[in-house]
Amino acid sequence: MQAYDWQVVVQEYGPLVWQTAYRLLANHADAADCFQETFLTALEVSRRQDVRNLPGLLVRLATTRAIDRLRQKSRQCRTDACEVKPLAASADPLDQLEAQDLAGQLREAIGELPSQEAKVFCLRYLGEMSYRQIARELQIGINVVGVSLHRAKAKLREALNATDATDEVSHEQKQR
Amino acid sequence: MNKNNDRDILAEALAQLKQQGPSQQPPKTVVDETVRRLAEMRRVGDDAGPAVLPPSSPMRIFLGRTVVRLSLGAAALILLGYALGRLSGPAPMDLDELREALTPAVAASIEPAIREKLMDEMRQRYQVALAASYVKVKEELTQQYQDELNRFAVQTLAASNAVTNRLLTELVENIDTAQAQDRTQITKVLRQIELNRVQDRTQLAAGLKTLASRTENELSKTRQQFVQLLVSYQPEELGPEPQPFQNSQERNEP
Repeated sequence: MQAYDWQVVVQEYGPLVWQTAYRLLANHADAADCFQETFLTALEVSRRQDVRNLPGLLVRLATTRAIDRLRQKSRQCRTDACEVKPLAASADPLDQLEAQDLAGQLREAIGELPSQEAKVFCLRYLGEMSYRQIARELQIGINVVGVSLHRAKAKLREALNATDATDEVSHEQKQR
Repeated sequence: MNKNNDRDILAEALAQLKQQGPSQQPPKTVVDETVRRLAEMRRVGDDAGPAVLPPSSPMRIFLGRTVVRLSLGAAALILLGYALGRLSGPAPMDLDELREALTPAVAASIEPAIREKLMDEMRQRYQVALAASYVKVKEELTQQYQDELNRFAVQTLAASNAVTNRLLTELVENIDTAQAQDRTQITKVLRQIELNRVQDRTQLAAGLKTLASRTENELSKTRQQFVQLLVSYQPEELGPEPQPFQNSQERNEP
């Protein structure tokens, strides 16, 4: 069992964990909760077993927690009104709105994915891990990583296209 | 061709998602709170000691080997006991003698039970068959009864329809006859009323003419009498003799 100075660990890898959580959650409070849970879980894991890749473990834990919260938020957003973020005044408001909308649709689609596919997709494209690192962190085979990633991309692309088509139809109806 | 196919919407969404990342540094309050909770958790964990042995510890390896040895010893003891039991057991009996000795007694003991069981089964089967036959007959009779009722209802309905149609035809004819008679009588009455009106008008005209002529005669007589009365009672000193009364028609004549 390794002994870490967790204050140093938090200072060193905090930005990485925070960025991973905030990209998926886009919410300060949720990202803060995810941040704390990630480090507490990492402490428990380090007590049980040797940790060979601490940043990989932290990114995996942050991604897992964020996806769990994303799925909860996705279920709540089906009944409640989703949070609308204020626009920044510097850029074009329409472009910002479209960008926020697209990112929000991607978050919602990730929340709809099966757990393993969502983790693999986020670790690959948001955590920028290799297939081998993902397989080691999730304790699955490299082939499973590839298959999960392919399925996740197909499902996300389909969900985004469906949402885009629906938006275009509603926009045309409003214009009429 | 859908324009969604021309661009990779997933890549765009991923790029937007990466661009939306906040500042790289987490808030200081969150970091401090996390460090505090980690320290608290470490302190609690150190007080309680390790809950689970690490997988590669020597104690776990020792316990695993001991369990395997004990399992192997128990299996060997079981096999030894089984072999001793088979070897030290009594020799098997002659099955034919045993069967001949036991057959009469067993037959006598189980024959009444078998007979009774057979009777029960036969009774149950008959009851089931009777119940099925009863249900079948009941259904057939019900079906026949319903068919008869339907046929009778159809016949009754047809007969009643024919009678109703005949009665309605007669009623319509009677109504037409009564209406024609009423119209004839009304025409007669109207003609009589018109005839009476013409006669009344004629009589009224004749009466009015008679009245007018009599009235004129009476007026002429009255005028003459009035003139004569004035002539006979006129005083002499009043002046010249008055002119006789003339009506407007007489005055206008030359």
